[in-house]
Amino acid sequence: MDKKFLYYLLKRVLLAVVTIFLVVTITFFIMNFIPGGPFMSEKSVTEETLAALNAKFGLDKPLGEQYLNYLKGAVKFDFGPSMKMDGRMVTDVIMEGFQSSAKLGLIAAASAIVLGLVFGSLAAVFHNKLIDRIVMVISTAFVAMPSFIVATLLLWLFCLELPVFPANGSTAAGLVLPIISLMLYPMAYIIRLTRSSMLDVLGQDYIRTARAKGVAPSKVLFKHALKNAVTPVITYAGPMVAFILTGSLVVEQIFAVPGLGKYFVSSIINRDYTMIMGTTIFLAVIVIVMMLLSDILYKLFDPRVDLS
Amino acid sequence: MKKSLALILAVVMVLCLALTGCGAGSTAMTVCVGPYPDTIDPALNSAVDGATYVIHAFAGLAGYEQAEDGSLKIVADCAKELPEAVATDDGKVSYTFELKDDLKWSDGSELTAADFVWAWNRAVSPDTAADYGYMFDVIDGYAEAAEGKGELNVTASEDGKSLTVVLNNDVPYFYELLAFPTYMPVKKDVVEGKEDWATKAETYIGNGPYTVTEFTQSQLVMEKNKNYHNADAIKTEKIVFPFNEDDASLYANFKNGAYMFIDSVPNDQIKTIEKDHPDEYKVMGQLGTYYVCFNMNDPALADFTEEEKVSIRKALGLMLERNYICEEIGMAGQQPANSFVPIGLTDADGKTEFVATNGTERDGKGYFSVAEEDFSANCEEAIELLTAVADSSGKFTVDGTTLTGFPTLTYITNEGTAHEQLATYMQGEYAKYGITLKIEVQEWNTFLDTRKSGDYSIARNGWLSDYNDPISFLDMWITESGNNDCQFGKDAHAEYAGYSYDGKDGLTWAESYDKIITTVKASTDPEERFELMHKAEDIIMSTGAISPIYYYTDQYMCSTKIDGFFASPLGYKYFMYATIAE
Repeated sequence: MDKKFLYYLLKRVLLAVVTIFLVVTITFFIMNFIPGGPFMSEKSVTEETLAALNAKFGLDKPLGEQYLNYLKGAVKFDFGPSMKMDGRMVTDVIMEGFQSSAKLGLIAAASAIVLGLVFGSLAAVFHNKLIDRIVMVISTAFVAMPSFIVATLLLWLFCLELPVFPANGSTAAGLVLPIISLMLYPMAYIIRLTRSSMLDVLGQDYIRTARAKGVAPSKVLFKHALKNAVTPVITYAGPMVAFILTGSLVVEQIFAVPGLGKYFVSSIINRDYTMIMGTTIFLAVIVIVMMLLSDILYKLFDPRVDLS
Repeated sequence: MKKSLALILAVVMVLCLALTGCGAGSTAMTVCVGPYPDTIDPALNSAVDGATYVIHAFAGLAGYEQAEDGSLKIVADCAKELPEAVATDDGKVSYTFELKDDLKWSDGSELTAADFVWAWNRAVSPDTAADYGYMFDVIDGYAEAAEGKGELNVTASEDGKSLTVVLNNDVPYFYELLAFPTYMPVKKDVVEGKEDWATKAETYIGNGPYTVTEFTQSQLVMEKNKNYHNADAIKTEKIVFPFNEDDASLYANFKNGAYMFIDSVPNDQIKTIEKDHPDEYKVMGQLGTYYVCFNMNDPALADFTEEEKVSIRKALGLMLERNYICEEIGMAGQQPANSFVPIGLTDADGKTEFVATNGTERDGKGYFSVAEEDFSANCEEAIELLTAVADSSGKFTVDGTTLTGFPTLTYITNEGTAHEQLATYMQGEYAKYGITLKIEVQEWNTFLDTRKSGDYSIARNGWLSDYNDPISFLDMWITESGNNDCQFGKDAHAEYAGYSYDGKDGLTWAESYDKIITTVKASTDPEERFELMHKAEDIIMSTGAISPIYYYTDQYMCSTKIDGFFASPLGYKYFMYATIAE
């Protein structure tokens, strides 16, 4: 089993490297084929300046050579300087932004999973009772509401009408609302997943057996039922955590959190080539790691899963 | 137990109150002027928010001050006074600036005239590749310096106390340039060879009223620079510039008191804001024009003669009701525009407005009327123009006010609520006459690329000036300019000889417009310069390819607690002389 597991891990890591290579290659060429460039602005720079800028960032070389140079740097985790933000290295900008985003993201993701599991289980246990109805109404509402609506609503409600929280993320208290905005959708989604999966499991024979044997209800619920009902949640949670950790453009802008989210969009709008590559690779790595973790978690929760 | 808990809580609350009380008494202000900036390097910056940071951390030879009556004036800053130009033997002019005594960098080291020489040459050098390097093109030696083959004709005296600058010819806006961020000095030993010097507080050494003590992706903090030569005039100890770009968030932070100043407001709430904050919401004129531009070589109109194309473009321009656009789409106090050079720029005497003598008659009435009551007459004129084109070309017909067979045109714009609303408005207006306008909304960078390469029919456009001289609106239309989005003098239009200048008719764009701009740039006689600039504007407006919509405004909200704050027509915000009322 251990050997098999190691072999599995190795295979996944190799696959990850191939995936990232493909991501790098596809992004690099697509990015170069869309019109415009990093030094385009409403007031155009002079020809000399443009030539100097292209030379400075190696954009005067043939595309193939640029691609090889990029790969050489990327292997050493050197993503180069940003083409738009003078004097800043892509890696530094990403890491600085990621610290803010990850702090919010970790708390939001953890809260979403815990609350989602708890409320989802409650709804399943009290199937068709009042609690179930309330939980379902609320979770349906949050699944249907996009984050910019939730964030704007929270901003209006808790920063202006009842000013209990600051409207910017420069203090700890200012992080409460962005965390809630980030958390509500995944929480609602997990509630729904848990509920339906729990309902399915609770109707199984082995649960009836456990109950008949006189196992304590809480033990039936948490040990026997939840453990088996959690698989779809794990499937969902992997990519969800990856995306939530790397920040949300909307939530971070509305609450002025200096996170990573905006760079995914601004780098493309600005054609900041090195930043586009940096953010894409970074996101790809995090998604791949999270997927791997969720696969391993499957195995832990369900021994029937054959990883090989 | 409960009692002691209550006691602790009470003590904590009292302490909190006491501490916040202390905070209110100290002189610090939190003001937001934009998002995390791309750069705050004086040479590399080309953004308005970046310029605001630069003018607080650096001081040039000249700077701005607010006079008693609220008007702005340029005064000597690092220089003792602003000298007059002196003609040199070879027909150029020179300025010699005596620097104030004991000028220092914020780290306490000595600042000399040589620092200016180094900084200016750095800004021009192709190695620096600064967007605004061309701001030095008035200085002798610029052409060579910009190619990396020479240096600007700027010299420091041996003792470092004076700086001599030689200009190709005197320009009226030279003092203004001296107050421009690109002209600020930078310290050679912290800047040279260090690409990241302007990204960290430790190495961001300036000579201005404030010095940067913290610079992260969330905020820029500046504290009073004790080494600034005019430090006594600076009353506020600390300025915090948080980075924020979301209008709703900015407004929420302003309303709940977190920010004392915000540089933009949610467009859809302007009417409420005007009502709720009459003393805090401000609209300022800005040196800029929002306009619609036509491609001179539009393939969709290729079947028409140049004269017919002019009529078509003019007619399409006249059919737009600019008052409606300002009130219902712009919604920020914009003024309807009937000329390309906007309000706010001065004429030859430096006092009267350039627009006061614009228009072909020089009567200040612009190139068409934007009065609300004249709109129907404008539309009638448009129909007359189009009827004439229909008769001469035979390509379409006009029946009453309805056109049949008129070519379909496409309007391109970038994303943005107001831009897209204008596009829809135009589409609706033209449809009333049977003209089909297709709208193509493009993502920003693609849009810029399409517009620059002339791959369009009609496009949204806008221009904001960097200094108070109409040439900044006119030299962009020479054939070789990188901003010549209308494609004047290019491809088919290069052959067209229908312009006149200097008593001669039948000239091409290169022979007329390009010549005028060259003459303006070399001229030292203000009367001649300005007459030629009016003439240049006549020519671009005669093509109908530029259809001005409105003059830009700058809107912001400033707490009534802030006293002594002012903003320049370029949109830069000056907090250094501001104080906070108790």
